[in-house]
Amino acid sequence: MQRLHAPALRLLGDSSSSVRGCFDVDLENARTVAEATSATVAGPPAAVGPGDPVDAAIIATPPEAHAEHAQRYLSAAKHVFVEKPATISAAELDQLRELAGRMGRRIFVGHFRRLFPSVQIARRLVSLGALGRLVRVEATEGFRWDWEPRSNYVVESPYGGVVHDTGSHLIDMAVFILALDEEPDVRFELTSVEKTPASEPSQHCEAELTLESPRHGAFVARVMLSRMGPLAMGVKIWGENGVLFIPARFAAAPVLRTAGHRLLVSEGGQGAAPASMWHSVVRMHEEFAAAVQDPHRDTVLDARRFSLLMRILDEIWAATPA
Amino acid sequence: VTRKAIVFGATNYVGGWTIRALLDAGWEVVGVSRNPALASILLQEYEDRIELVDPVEAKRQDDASAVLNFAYVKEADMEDFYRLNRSLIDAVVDTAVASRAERVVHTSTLAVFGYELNVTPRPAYVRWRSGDPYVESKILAEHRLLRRTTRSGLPTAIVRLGNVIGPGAPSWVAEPAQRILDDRPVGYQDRDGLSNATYLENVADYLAFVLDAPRESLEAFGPYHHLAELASHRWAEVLEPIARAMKVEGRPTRATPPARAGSPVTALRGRVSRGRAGGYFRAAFGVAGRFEWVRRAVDRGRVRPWELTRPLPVRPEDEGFLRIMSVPRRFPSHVMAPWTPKVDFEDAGRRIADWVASAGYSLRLPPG
Repeated sequence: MQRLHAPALRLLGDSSSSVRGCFDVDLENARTVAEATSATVAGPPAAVGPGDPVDAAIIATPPEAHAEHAQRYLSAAKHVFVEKPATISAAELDQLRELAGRMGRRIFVGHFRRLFPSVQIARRLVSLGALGRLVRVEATEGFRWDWEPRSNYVVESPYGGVVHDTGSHLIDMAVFILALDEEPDVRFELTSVEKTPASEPSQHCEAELTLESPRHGAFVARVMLSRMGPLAMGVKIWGENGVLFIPARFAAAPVLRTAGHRLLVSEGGQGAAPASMWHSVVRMHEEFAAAVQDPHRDTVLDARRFSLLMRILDEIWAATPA
Repeated sequence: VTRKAIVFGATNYVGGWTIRALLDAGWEVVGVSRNPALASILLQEYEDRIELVDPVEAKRQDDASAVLNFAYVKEADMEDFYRLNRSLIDAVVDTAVASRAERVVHTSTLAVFGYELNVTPRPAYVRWRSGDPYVESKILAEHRLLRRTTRSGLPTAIVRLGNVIGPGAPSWVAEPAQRILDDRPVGYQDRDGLSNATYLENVADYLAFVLDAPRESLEAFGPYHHLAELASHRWAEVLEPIARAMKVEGRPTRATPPARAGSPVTALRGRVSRGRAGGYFRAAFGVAGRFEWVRRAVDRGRVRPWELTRPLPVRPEDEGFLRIMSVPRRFPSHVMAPWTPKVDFEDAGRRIADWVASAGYSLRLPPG
């Protein structure tokens, strides 16, 4: 919250929204973020009612607490924005969406990589048929973990592993680029999985799936995630015309290698794209604020677009290596 | 008799491999880490074979043969930087004294001579220079360590490593491979520098050798060791097996070198170079004619494909990396006899290529 959301909220504070309160079990942290965002209230997580003068809540706790907090705010008729991954299971997300529907409120998920220009352009290229028939997808992201977490969550919580952390970002990139988030009838099967350690939280995971969608037909997808060492960082999509590479880190354009050519495919000049990861986070909060104000506004961050991602994460997370 | 090594910075990339070499050579290893979560992720392979302690517990160890340090201060506010550096080195030396270790081996880097080897790389004391936190951290550590160990009468080896290459080496293998995937430059045109490289397993092997060397030989050699057994190989030779393993078509992208400041001629060349920046890309009209999707996309103004016919302009964040890839100066090895490297350049290239292919960098569609 402190690193990513607070600076963006401070930036947008004068225009589209303002922050009323910051709540954390760590009171010092709550006060720091409240100060950074000019919030008037800081304290431990508190009860909320329909009469409280707020429109929406941002939930940036560890994932297993998302559902509990989201439920509290949705029940009080507030819109909710949750950090990725939305929840720890597809079933939890379905329950939240059902509650949001009943309350006439919406849930948004903080997958800001969907707003990277490279990702947006790649999605456009695939939908234009640039690659021809889809053959294979590889999503890989790994690095040597070298920072100090605030808690031992990453090694102690079953949801603190690489699948929900890095995996949710990376697999979502692939799902979004292929526009599978819009397809209702995507079927998939997990064909293999390897994890280190073998039980969650895993720190290294390799999985292979077969997917089938009405738009793309059947294809193979491979996922490799690691905190134990570097891996290629990005999504590769092979089609009959060539291979498209989209870096996992912020990039202005994907690289398309086709028929002996290397093409850097940039925006077609339809409006300003975010210029950095930071700008993508700001854009995400702008999207969220705009969608709160206009209930009919469609946004790529809407929770309904994350069902397939959550089902894939469920399968990989629950799988025990042979 | 089992020899015991206390290893600071055990979660470091080189540290992990050195632990493996020491365990294989029959050493008992005590890893020191401030961060148990990090250690349990990165040292899983050795979980049952080493004892893991924090810096306070490390001082309670006894009968150690050696203390080996890979740790350094990476990030800190400037007001904490020097203090943290001092306390880290003090912890290393205090542990050596408390555990009655016979020697301290400290890993440093060729960067103490400047990233571009601005100072002649002699195996000797390096003067303090300010300006870069990493270089400052490494020089300060050398100075304080040697002062403290000399006072305590502890034989000391400061091993300055060249650019470490090997399977999964973050800076000099994974980073260039990622650059090739992203189509970012991996060097300047016509300025292919010396790699000044050392291979991971050779580093681990040399450190194990120094830990085992007779005390008299160690003292006679002097405190400064330089390890860069592959130094004379140019970066292009290192990158070639990587690019081959990635199955990329054509050569990795190289950037136009910045004009050297000085004469009016070079200044003019700089202006001309900037003036032609717009010509770095050529719109892929040829491709547009061949692929229906490109024509449709361009017509609708939805995407703009550019063919990479010339190097991309250099981004400021690339400059440091590219300068290191252009260093013409050699960082010669200065190592104790009779040590010789276990892994030669060709073998190193093969092992790196195997790793690149297995870590998701290959652009070739797997069979089936």
